[in-house]
Amino acid sequence: MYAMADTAGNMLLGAALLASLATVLLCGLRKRDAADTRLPRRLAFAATLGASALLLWLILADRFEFDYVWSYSAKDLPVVYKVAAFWAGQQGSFLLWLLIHNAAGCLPARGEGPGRAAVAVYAMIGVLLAIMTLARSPFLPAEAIYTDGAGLNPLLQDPWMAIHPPLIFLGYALLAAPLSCSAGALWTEAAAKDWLSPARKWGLIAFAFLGAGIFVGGYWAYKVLGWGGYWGWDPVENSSLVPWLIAAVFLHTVRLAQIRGENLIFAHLAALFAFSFVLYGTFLTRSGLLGDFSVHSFSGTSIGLLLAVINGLLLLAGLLLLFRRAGRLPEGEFYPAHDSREFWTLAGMVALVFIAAVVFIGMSMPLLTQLADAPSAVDTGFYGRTTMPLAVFLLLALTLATLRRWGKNGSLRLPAWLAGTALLGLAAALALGIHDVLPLMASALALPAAAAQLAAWREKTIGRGAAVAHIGVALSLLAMMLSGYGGETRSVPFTPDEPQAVLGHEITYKGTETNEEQTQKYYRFAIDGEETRALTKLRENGEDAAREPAIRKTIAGDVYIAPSPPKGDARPELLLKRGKTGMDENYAYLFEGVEKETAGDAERITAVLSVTDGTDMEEARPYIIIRDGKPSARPVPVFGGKKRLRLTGVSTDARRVRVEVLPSAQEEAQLPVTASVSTKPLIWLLWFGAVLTTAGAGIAVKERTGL
Amino acid sequence: MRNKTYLLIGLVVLFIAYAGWTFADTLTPYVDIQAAKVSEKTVQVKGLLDKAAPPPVQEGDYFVFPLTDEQGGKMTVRYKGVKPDQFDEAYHIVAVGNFRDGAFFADRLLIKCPSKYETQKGKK
Repeated sequence: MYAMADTAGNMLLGAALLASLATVLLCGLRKRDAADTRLPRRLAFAATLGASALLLWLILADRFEFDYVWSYSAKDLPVVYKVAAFWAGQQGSFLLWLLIHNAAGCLPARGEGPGRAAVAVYAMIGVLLAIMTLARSPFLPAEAIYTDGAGLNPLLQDPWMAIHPPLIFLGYALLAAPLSCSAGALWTEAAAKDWLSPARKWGLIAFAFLGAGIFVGGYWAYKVLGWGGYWGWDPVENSSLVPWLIAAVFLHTVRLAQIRGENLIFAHLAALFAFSFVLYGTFLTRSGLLGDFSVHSFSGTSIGLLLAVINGLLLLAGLLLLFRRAGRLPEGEFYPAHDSREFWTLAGMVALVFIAAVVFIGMSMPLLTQLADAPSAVDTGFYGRTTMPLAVFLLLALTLATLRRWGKNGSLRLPAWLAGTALLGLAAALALGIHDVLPLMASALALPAAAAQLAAWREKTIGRGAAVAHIGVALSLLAMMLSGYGGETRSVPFTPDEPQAVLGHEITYKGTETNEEQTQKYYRFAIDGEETRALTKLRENGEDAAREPAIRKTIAGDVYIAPSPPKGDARPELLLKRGKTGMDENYAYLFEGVEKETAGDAERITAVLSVTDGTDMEEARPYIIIRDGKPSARPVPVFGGKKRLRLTGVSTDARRVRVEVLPSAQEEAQLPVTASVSTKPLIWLLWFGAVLTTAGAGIAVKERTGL
Repeated sequence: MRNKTYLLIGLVVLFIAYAGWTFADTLTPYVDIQAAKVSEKTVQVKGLLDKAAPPPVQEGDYFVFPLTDEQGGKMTVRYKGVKPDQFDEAYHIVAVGNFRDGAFFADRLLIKCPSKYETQKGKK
């Protein structure tokens, strides 16, 4: 039955492709309503759902004869991570994307639904996505017979893994809808505005999901080590930021176009570029071209070129269509007066486009310079330095736009307390020792921008969702300034139970603690009297697999401790020859021989050693277990646990072995440790602002649809 | 009214000039160890831990380790911070920084592990 699964899976994907193609053809051939394509659209969704269910079933049923299942799952993985394995790899994430695309494609088009041309464009994108999924199918058989999977990387075994990628892919997939509405409108009736309403609704939903995905990713990167904090300007992070920024531009230009048709051109451009950047980012991060530049190290794949071609064709076709129809779009002034909300909204959008452009250029440099055969990358300082003035301008434009009315209707009365909030932000920044001009300006402008939303809301000149989202953006930017420029970092050596004053906090390291299953080790710290622990997930052989910092959260901000594993001197290695005695400062070791046994699918190699401390003699049997070609070795205690021995290598002729001598578990738990201690002032404000931004978009969807 | 438009265009031009200057200032070329030693700019160097040299140590604020590359170049890297995650499993290390006073001062390390997202098949 399972033998058929690869054929069945690929056939289902093929069926989804054909159904989408049928939708395109039906839209093109028959001069009839878009509702007539309901059947093929539903078929495409049903087939994709079937393929997805099949893949999920294969993962849950531990069918390691499939390459994808073997690569990302394992027998003893908790169910939630088995489900997450669905999107842990590239093939599965494309399938998820296709599933979301086709699911949204057959949602009932109520009332103001998109027209025939829009449905055709959307289905065409479905065809392209199906081709990409098939090009590297998740249903390929494994290269060898395995009885257990390679397992999900411990770094990814985190509850956030269950929701971060699906959120991102929901955002990516749904950005195809505004593009389809825009292209469909250009195709049929360029001057029409009725595409704006459904496009805005879908754009808001996509913006909310993509934003939530980015924020969740940032929070996740903050609470684990190795990803460089909540935002590292890493190409993989940047490639999701650019479409999100352009989606924001799209939402604002749609509103402008609804008020003044002259701005339609901007809405069309933003819709096209938002989805193009989704494809471009996917290409950049999945092609392996960034291998040497990104911490997220996706390996190279064969479909990079296919993605590049699809992206290029889509962008070219879109621009060509827009160029051909540009003459039919309304022309004239984009804004009625400089002292209008239209003008300042446009000015803010210019700032957003520039931020996106700067990030785009930065993240593309490895690619461009590679083509010129002189690979280079911009330092992450580039992003900070270029986006800072833009962020300041953005906050200014946001405040001014909010305090004005549409058209020539003048501005709201400037509330006196607005200036007070500016002083509050400035004072907070100065108190944290920030002295750079731009961060100070941004800190001063953030709270007035938030306060202006409340003022406009009271005057009913701004929607509830927009006001909440804007407050979120302003507070997030403020938090970025305060925590980024006002925080400090020190590298501190700690000896257990010796309190130290670091950055205004009393910190005591209290040694490590390992759980019974030997899967998790905790570095215990007391920060200002409260115990906070840094978790390190361990591999089967006791090595560190993934580390998390100890974070003490307070209203003033976080204290963030990243311990560095004590290693090196504490763990000497011995090379022993058979029949010979090796020595260290405590014991003499006689290596007597190697025993090999096979039990089921595992092979166990045991080194037999006689260990003596001069008076007593004891036999020690450190071992390596090899299962599916994966070796693992745990330390074995000698002399009642005074030392522990771990077998780390055996020569092929079994004449020599390498043994690691570990201190006793108690001793190791009390070794000194070096830790990086940072303060992150008011970082919680960032999480709060991020939640508001997403919630605001959600409220706006609700306002639009009356759900 | 036109004046304000010109002002805005002026601002945009000014920003583009500033961004271009920042760009040139922060562009870090990818070079080998030998070239890194003579370069005065910030550069990126790809290499791996030199197992033949003394093992990595933490010296105050710096994590110090020996780096070697395919061309056989060797240098000591001083990274401001503590030992990064998965350092021991790296199949290569990218250090971003500049060479001065006989060592490569790295502001950033990229640790490339086979297992982060994709498993490297047939390994081990």
